[in-house]
Amino acid sequence: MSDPYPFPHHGNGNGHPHANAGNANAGSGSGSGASGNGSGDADGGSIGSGDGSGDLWVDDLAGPVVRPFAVTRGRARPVAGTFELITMVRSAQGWSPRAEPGLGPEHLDIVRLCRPAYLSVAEIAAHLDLPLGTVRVLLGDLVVRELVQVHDAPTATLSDDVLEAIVDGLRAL
Amino acid sequence: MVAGGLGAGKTTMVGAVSESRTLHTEEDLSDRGAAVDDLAGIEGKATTTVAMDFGRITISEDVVLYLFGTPGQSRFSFLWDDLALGALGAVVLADTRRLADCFPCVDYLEERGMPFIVAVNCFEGARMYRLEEVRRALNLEPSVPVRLCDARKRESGKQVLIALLKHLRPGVRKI
Repeated sequence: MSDPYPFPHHGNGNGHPHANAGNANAGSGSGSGASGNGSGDADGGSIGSGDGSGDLWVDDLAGPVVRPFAVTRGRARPVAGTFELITMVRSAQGWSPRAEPGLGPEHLDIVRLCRPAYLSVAEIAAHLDLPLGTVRVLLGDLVVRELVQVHDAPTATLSDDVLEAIVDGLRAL
Repeated sequence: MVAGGLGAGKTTMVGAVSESRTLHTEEDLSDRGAAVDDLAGIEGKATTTVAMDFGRITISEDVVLYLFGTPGQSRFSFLWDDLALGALGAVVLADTRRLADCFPCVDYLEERGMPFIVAVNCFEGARMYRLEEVRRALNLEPSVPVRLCDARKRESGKQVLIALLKHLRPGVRKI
């Protein structure tokens, strides 16, 4: 059987070309596919799912194909920096994202995302559909390589001028 | 920060006031989950993550306002510390049918010393209470503003945020 992906693969919703990297294993391991058990599918190397009663976790229920810990290569903490939800991130100018040892596709996605303007850590996580903890680890890698600049949000002491600007801005919405 | 009990209208309000769509992110519970006694009620979830909704309002080139809805369940209140970092203040959305749901938020904010206002979301079919009654039921300091709102309406949400900003700096006339 030449198709390494025996059942329709949906990726993880964000269209990454690497998103199906783990799918071949998932497919050949269970062999249950989408066609169910005992339907006589001529699946060649299919091992069959045995009792066929197991829950099938497909689509969104199955979660991302590449698990967050795989994206961070098992690391739970960033090697540098602390990243609050509203820490602002911007890509360093003059570097175009390209594959490099130690940088995964998600690293490059962050660099692309934060190229035009500052973006908060929370927004990066939302746009890339990755958990915050994962994004923090990736950002740590980028900070060490000086590929992004980060600015912590000002503490809760804002000048009256800024407060006025916010109120005016809200009124103008 | 937009706080309040489950179903009080936090996500609705964030969505109504924010530009474009509400953003959505998830926080792993893997390491911090240890602090939580159990995950009763979400056993059906395949992953141990908690979702957060938030929105963005671009005020100017240099100023962006972020609205974060807190996870409604109080068992996720340990995440509020993350949300509270750098927060200017909080709106506590209250549903008068379940006023007790916002006790944990009020307690948390008072303990942390974060300025907040209470916005009573006017649900259809909910009995209207006078604002004084709400204030008394929540045992609020007299300085804490309490007002009515409709979390679905952009204009109403804007007024709530402006009220919060005024509360932050009552001395500033021009605001």
